[in-house]
Amino acid sequence: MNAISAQPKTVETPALELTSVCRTYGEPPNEVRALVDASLSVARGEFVAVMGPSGSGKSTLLTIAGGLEVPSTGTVRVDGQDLGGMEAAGLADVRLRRVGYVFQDFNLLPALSAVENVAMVLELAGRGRRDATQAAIEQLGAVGLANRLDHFPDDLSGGEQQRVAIARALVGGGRLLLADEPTGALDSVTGESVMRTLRSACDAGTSAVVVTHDAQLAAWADRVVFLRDGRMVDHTEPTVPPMTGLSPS
Amino acid sequence: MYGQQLKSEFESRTGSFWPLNVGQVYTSLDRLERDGFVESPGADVDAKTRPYVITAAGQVELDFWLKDAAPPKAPPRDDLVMKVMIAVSIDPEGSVEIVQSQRRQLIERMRTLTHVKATPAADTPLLLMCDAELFRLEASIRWLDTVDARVRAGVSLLGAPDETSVAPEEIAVEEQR
Repeated sequence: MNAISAQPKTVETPALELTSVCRTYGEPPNEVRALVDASLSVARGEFVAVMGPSGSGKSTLLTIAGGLEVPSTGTVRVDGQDLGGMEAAGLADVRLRRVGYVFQDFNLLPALSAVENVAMVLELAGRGRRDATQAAIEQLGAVGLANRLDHFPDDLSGGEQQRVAIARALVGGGRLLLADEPTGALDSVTGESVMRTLRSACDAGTSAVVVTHDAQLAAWADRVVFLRDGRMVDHTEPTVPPMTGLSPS
Repeated sequence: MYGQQLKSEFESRTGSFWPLNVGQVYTSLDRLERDGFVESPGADVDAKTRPYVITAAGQVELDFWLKDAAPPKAPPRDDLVMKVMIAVSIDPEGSVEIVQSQRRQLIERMRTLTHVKATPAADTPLLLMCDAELFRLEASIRWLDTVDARVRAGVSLLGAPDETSVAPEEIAVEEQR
């Protein structure tokens, strides 16, 4: 099967651009090739899902896209900025200001309220507390949690906690959202509310990459990319096909 | 309720997935009236102009029908399953591309349905029908994932049946019990 590069039709600087990325662990002859010649371009406001079986390289792709891991070869650009050759401090700054992560288990700080969890990201990036808090309030409102601002994680449902995590990933605007199985810990209806939140964020201009093995989750994306043995083997077209044959009659 | 009304109610409550032939509705109403499950004044008037009302016996029958599980059926003839099984039997390694092609098309159909769910006009019946179809498509994708895993594990689907294998007709018989 030939490798396929999944590129959307766009002339804008992509929010994320991976070009011929390889990631190898270990040394020959026992090396493991987690990603092989992977290329992916995510346009602004585009929602891309990455599907594949366990061990196909999905999570490696996400950690490389977010600057948590360095590729063995190939280039990674976030908002046009090449992460290759960056010092640790530069990468940390990209992770703080340009990228937002959402994990399966939410990863909220239990001692902080919802608004404090979200505002903390901006405070770490140097924004004043009042300014950060105001931005956090607005972002929590945008994910439908205006009435949960002062609740602590333990007092929130799983779906609400994940929406706080999404607000934290998006606060301040302009950040690429990277999510690893974001609905994996949620029941189907709650998971759908989280996906609706992600979909709305992308419709409002956020770019997102979600890795998942869940087809119902992937179906919310603009484009689905398939990984197999570290290679991108296939992708859907970035448009929704017309609804035909819905009725069996 | 009139026959035409009944047709509209059925369609709106089931997401308009199964349009009814109004003639079939009148035929069914005739049978229900014969069996005492509905009644209608003026039996000599044309069925199209007569209102029907459910009887107490009809209500009991309706409650039973709603709660009763659908009768078991033999596994349906499924083109996807047939194509993939034939592909695997011809060339297990080459079947990977066919499995992926099927998976992509199923996901594309799921995206279309999800797009329908995301529209503000989607009411509860439409959401429920889309959910039903999405779960059905997801089940097919999970089956394809399992085919993929079994082919990767080198399990031959051409081997002679062992003592633990069950013939399809046995499955159907078991389900009919």
